[in-house]
Parts: sequence; structure tokens; C-alpha cells
Amino acid sequence: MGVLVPVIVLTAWEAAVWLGLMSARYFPPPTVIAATFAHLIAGGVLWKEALVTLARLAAAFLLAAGPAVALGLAMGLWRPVRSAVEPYVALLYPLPKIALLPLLLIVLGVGEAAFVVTGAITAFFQIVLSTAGGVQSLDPRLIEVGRNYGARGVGLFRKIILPGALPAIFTGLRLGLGLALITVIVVEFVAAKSGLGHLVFRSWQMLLTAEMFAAFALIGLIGLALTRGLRLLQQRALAWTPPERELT
Amino acid sequence: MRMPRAIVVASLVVLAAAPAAWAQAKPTVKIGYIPTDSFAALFLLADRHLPAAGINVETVRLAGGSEIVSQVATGQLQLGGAGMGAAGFNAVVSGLPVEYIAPLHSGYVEDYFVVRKAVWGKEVKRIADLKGRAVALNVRGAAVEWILDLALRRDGLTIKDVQVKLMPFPDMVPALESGAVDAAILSEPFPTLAEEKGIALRPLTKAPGVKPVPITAIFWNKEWAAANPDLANRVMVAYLKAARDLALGDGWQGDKTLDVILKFTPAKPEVLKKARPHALDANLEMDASVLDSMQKFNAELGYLKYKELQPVGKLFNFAYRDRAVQELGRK
Amino acid sequence: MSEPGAARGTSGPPSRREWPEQAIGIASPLLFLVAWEAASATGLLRPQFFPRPTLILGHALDLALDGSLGRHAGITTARVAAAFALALVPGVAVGLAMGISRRVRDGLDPLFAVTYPIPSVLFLPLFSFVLGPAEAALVATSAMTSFFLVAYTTMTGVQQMDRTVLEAAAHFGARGRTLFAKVLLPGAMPFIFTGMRLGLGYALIVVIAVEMASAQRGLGALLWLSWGLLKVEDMYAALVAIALLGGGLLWMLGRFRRRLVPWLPDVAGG
Repeated sequence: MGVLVPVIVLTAWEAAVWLGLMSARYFPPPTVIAATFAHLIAGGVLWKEALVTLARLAAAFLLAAGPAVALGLAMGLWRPVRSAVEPYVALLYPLPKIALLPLLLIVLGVGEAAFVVTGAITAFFQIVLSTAGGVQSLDPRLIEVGRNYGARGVGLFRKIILPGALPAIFTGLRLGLGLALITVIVVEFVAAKSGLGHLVFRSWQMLLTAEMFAAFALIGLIGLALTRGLRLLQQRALAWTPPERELT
Repeated sequence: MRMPRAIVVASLVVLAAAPAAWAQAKPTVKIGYIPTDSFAALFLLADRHLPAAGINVETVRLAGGSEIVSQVATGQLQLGGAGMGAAGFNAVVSGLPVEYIAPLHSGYVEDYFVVRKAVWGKEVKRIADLKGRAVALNVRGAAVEWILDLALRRDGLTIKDVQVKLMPFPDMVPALESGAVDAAILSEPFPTLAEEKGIALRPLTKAPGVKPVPITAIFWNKEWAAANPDLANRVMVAYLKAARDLALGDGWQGDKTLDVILKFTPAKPEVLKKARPHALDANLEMDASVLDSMQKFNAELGYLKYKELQPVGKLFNFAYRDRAVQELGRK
Repeated sequence: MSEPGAARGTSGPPSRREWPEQAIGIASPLLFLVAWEAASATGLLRPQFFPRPTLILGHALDLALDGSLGRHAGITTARVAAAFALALVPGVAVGLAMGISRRVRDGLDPLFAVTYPIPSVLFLPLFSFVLGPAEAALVATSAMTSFFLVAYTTMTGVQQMDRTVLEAAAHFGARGRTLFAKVLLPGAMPFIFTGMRLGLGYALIVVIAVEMASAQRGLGALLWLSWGLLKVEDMYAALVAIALLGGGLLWMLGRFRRRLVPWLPDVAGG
């Protein structure tokens, strides 16, 4: 059943183009797209752009992860930190992070740094919120029990709080990575001269629609692999925790 | 999470130290350019005359003039070229450390305006038929937009009557081919390339005796020039020599020039040879009246930060050029 | 350390410790703005790229007064509202269907799984082919991610409902429409509202992104064009307006939720 629907859609698409119901110029038939995809993979074009996107993603994530977890933990542990940081979070949360791109382009110049930092900011937010939330939603009884057994300070943190918050931290990291990928691709679409997002934009402007759909397909596959793969990784790594209520 | 954090901290430290280390090294002039042969003088400067003067060069390719302006304004680049336009005007007037110092090239509107061959004579019999159609520009608020408006006005349209699509020059050729756009403002060698491939044509003819208009100019970071006056002077002298290569020496189509241009633009020599020539004055003089027209145009579109038209003296600093001309003698 | 687990603790009357915290909450951003103002005024920060906050505010007010900011803001808001509305109804409908029927879920899941990870903004070309390169395409593009979010959260809302509640209601004679309207829908409400909140946020994000990529009017377009022309004050004004718009939309949604379903606590969903 699961495979059936996409197959039906693709067949219908192919048929529609052949019957002249859809314009091949704007919606090349899936067979043509597949051929273009293979051609671009063989020619290395798709790999090159995908590598650029993934490199930006890695840089953004690595830039954000450490500091974000650190800040999230600090916010969860000490109220003054939370009070100091919360107004910024509240202010920046409803702001689309992509809107910060022009400002970053001024500060960091028109180059990789601005693109990577925009992605990093998006991931940063998510990770901080998830981590802080994870610490705050710990069962207070766990902490009580820990204290009763003599755990204090660093010991309490390492043995009770950190492991307890780990599922939330992992979820935050996973979501952050996914959001960073989306942001990087959007940034590429809007402003960059390389990467898969830019490839989609470029092929669109030049009306090379088969290439555009090929880039689409690759982005979808990468995104899917990333989200599903990471979720699997989390389930394996944190096998002792109850399964998360999943949104996707 | 300790390991990744260590890596992050380490990388940040390295990143922070790198620029400091860089600054100690030999002074390099970073030049921003767009891959079109209008920038030939900059190419000759970077490839030939700056190295000959013992100055290190790094060229950075960008897609549009406003990026180059903002990079020069922040000091990430020292020197750049661009179509004269709003970003440059705004930067100078708002007090950013950017100043225009000399023209880069003059050209003809007729050489820039291309129309898709497949529609010319059919859906588009005259320029006015481009109303509502898609036209490609590489950037907004720069000379190309002003050129497009001039071209359209010849048949009663203005820029507001067409649908502008933004893309870099090289992309406009495939876009014209596939019909994504019906017209474009293209900079050499791409219009010639498009003509050779039968994709587009240039419908406007030059009136006899018409003079080319200044389109692009070079600018640099004021603070860098003030801090390195000797270097700045040497750069200007080298640029004057590059300009004279074009104006008096090999010219835009000469083989030695083409060799250099080929290093910076993705074009074939045969196409470059056939490209329509530009102009650059041997003493780097330019007709400044075009600045009024450009400013007015940009002001009408709401692109300018300021209200009053600025005289050329406010936008350009010709002191270095004059000194260089004095040093090498007028031609 | 009283913070860990604080979320689960009982909430009592505000303690004496809260006042200093509120003070920090206000002082922190205030200090930041003051520092910025000083740095820009003294030239420590280049004022052409980092104008003083007071100047930015003044310029934003100028733009608001002469109507141009309002025009752009109005266009963006209209697009967000349209995108949200477009996403909401189909989203809830599909989500309910997927939650109720296993077959629907199995059928749509692979389709969604492949399209959901693709950033909405990339669908702009597709929609502009089908709907023409105008408003309709922009709105449809912005609705995509919101649609998925609403659908998924609604589906989750249905799935997590306590089966015993449904059975009990059925046992008492509730059938079909009544079961749906009186039991299922209210039961899934918390999740639907979370979906709405996320969906509204994402509608704004995608509208701004699309405006930056290819629009002439709207706050995103203003933001992007001002940068390209180095009209820096306009850029900041647009940024402030976008932040205010985002905050305003979320606040409105919160008020709406409190009016409609006041008994609901918010379900953590991101």
C-alpha cells in the first residue's frame, strides 16, 4: 500500500505528459527526470552541489551544538541565567531566522560564513529550547531520590540530571539538524551561488525543469534519510527511554 | 557532549586567530569582479600590472555589483568594480569608507540589449511588445537596470512595464534559449555568444556619431587607501597602465588582452574576438553627466537613501587618478 | 538548585525570588540596547552598518507614518493569513482522516515522507508553473509546510486519544457525527492547536523566505532589496517589523485559543 500511491502518482504524471495534458516544458515526465538525474549524478554535478550543502550543514550544526547544549543546561539549572536569556528567546523565536541573513551578510560578508551562521542560529535555538525544557521537565522525584542518596552538585548533575535530560537533548539535536538543513537550503535558494538549494533556483530561472526536479528529488532523499536515520540512531542510543511521541 | 564541544571551541579559536595571522603577511590587494569583459581593465590590473609593480593580488568573483560594494565597504575587499548604481551611491553618501576613483568602461546601450530570437518578429515585433514579459537583469539598482530603462524608453515603455528576473550574466543565455526570459541586458561576451548560437539578437542600432556612456567604475576602501597611501598610488598608476593597454595598446580585442580576459570569464576566444568593443579613456576621464541621469532614475525607483542629486565631486575622488596621470604623463 | 524538575512542580503563589528574575528579564535586553546605542554613537560599531537603535526606531516610525512600511507589512500579513487559512482546513481534514483510518495513513505517509523534508520555498517554481508567477503561487508555497504540520499534529491528536473514552462515548450512544464533533474533535484539540501554532509560525517563515527570493513587495522583499541597495536603516526597520509581526500573530493565536478552548493547557510540541 505504501509504495502504491507514489507509483500511481508517477504513472499518472508520465501519462499526463504523453497525452499532452501537462506541459513537458514545465513538468518533464518522470522518465526524463530520472534520466537527467542519472546524467547529473554521473557528471558529478549533483554530488558536488550536495557536498557543498552538506558541508554547510555540518559546519552550522557543529557551530551550534556545543554552545547550545551548554546554554540550555545552564538555563535549566540556574534561574538567573534563564531570566537573562529568556527575553532574547521570546523576541527571536517568532522571527524567521532567514530574515537575519542580510544582517549577517553585512557583518560577515557575502560568503560561506553568513550562510553557515544563519543555519547555526536556527539549530542553536531549537537545541537550547529542547535542552532547557529537558532539564526542567525532569521528574523532581528523581532528584529527590538522588539527593537522598547523597548526590550533590556535580555528582547530581552527572548521574541524575544529565542522563535524565539526555532524551530531550538528543531530540533537540535531531530537530536542530533537520532545521539547519532546511535553513541552509533556503539560504542557498535565496542568496548562495552553490549548493542544492541554489541549483533548484538556477534551473528554475533558466527553465531547465528536468534538472530542477532532479535536484528536488535529491533534496527529498537527503532530508528523508537524515530525519529517519537520526530517529533510528536516537532510538538505538537511548534504548532505555520510553519511545517519544513523534510528530513526523 | 564534551568531545564535540572541544572541537567547536578549538575551531573557533583557530578561526579567530587566522585573520590576525593574515594581517601580518605581505599586503595583498583583494579585488572583486564580475565575469564579463567590461572588467577588462581590472583583469589587466590584476594579472599584469600589479604583479609587475610587486604587489600581491587576490581576485574574488561575485555575481553582482552591490555585493562588491558592500564587501569593499566592510573592508573584506580593497578594490572593486561595478556598474554605477544605488548601492555605490548610497554607500558613499552615507559615509561608508567607499569612494569611486575612476571609470572602468563605457559602452553602448545598443550593445547590451538583447531579445530572444524565437519571439522576435512574431510575438515581439517591436520593443513595446515586451510589455509584461520577462526580462533578465543581473542586479537591481545598478547601471544595467538604468540601461534597460533607456532601451525600453526608445519605444515608449519603462522598466515598470516589464517583469524583471534576476540572474547572473552567464545564466541569461540558457534562460533566453529556454524562453524563461524574452529579453535581457547582457554584458559581453554573452550577447555575442547568444547571437552566435542563434538564441538572441540585438534589435537596436546605433545612431551615427553616438558616444558610448560610462557604465562601470572602480572604487576602493577609503580607509585602506588613507592608511596605505603609497600602495594606493601604485595601484592607481598600475590601473592607468591597464587602461592605456585597452585604449591605446592591444585594445579589447587584441590577443594579449584576450589571453587575460579568458582567465576571468568563461568564454571562448573566438567569441571574445567578435564581441563588440567597449571604450575606456587613456587618461581615465569620463563624462560625468551620466551620473545625474543615473541618480534620478534610482531616486524615482526609491533606491536612494538621499534626496538631493550629488555632484560628481561628492561621488568620485579623482585625486589619485590625477596624480597617476601626472606621473605617467598625459596621452 | 531548584530548576530541574521545576516544570513538573506545583505552581504556587509568586515567591519573593521572582521579582529579581523579572528585573533581570527586562534589564538584560535593555542593557544590550544601551550598549549598542553607545557603541554606534561612539563609532565603535560602524554606524552605517549598525545604526543606533534610537535611529532605527525613528526611521521605522518614519516609514510607518508615510505608509510604506504599513503597505509592505499589510501585504505580508495578508499572505500569511491566506497561507494559514489554506493550510488549516485541508490540514485538519487530512489529519483527522489519517488519524481515523489506517489505510489513509498508510497511503499518504510515503508521499508525505518524501515531500515534507523539502523546504517549502523550493515548491515556488512548481506552483508558479501551475498557478502563474503571482500571488497565488506565493500563498500556495507558503501553505505547504503549515499543511504538513497541521495534518501531522492533528493525526497525532486523534491517535493519542484514550480509546476507552471513545468506547465509553460509543457505549452511551454517541455515533458518527456526534462522536466526531463532541468527543473526537475536542479530544484532539490540544494537538490541533499546537499544529496551528507551528503552522502559523512556519507560514510566516516561508512567506518571508519567498518574498526575499522573488517578490517586489512585502517585508521580506523590503528586507532583501534594502540590503542590496545598502539602505541599511530600511533593512533594520523591516527586521523589526517582521519580528513584531511574528510576535503579534502568535499572541493573537494565543488569545483566540484561550477564548475558544480555555480549558486547554498547551501541549509541548516545539
